Amino acid sequence: MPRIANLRGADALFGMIKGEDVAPTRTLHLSRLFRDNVTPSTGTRLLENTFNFS
Amino acid sequence: MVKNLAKKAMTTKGQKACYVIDHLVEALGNEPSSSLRRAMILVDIDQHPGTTQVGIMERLHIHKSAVNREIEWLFNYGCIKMSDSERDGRVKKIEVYGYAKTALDAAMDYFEGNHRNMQLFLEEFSRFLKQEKPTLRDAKIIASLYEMKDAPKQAVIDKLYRGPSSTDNRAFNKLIEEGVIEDA
Repeated sequence: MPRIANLRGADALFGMIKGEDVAPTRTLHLSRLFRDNVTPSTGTRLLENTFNFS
Repeated sequence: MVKNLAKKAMTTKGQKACYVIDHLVEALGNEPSSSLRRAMILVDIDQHPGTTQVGIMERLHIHKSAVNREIEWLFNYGCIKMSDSERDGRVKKIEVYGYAKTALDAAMDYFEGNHRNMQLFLEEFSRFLKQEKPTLRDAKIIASLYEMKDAPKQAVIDKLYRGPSSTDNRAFNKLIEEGVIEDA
């Protein structure tokens, strides 16, 4: 099965994309919860980040 | 806007790379055979609106004839507009324009609008691909395969741009030949 030879290099390369650092706002976090592909663990993390509880 | 930000926040590195490449392909006339160098020229023009060909040559260290060729291509595809310089009638000022600007802005969102970071990404990607003249198609193959971890060749090719299958297959095989992709 084909795969990338230098996976570590690819990790570093694609790590240069900073899309995840978009401005975190409450509206943003809450809107994510309504997406149907949010897993329970992701939802919990988003709520923790949004409301600072854990 | 918020929806877009949420979308980006939920995506993986591989998906983001695919989106960036898709936006660049769109910015370059939906031509996946466009080289990463062409994309770098477009990004450079966007970073320096009103620049001249000489400016591009100096900043990107690209030969005059190559810049000439790429600028002609970008102009013919409606990606840039050129206007006369007020100071020197022989000089044309160049700007990214229309659909190319819209699509490039969408790609730039993934770099928080930082052109230098986008250029570094494209430079690194060019080195990673080990091709003489890497294309956005090559880049999409790698980003798609990265996202899928390991996948049958056809599954990766299905993620491309519905071009001639012989071209897609050739590009994939070239990446195997160069050792960028392992086919165990």
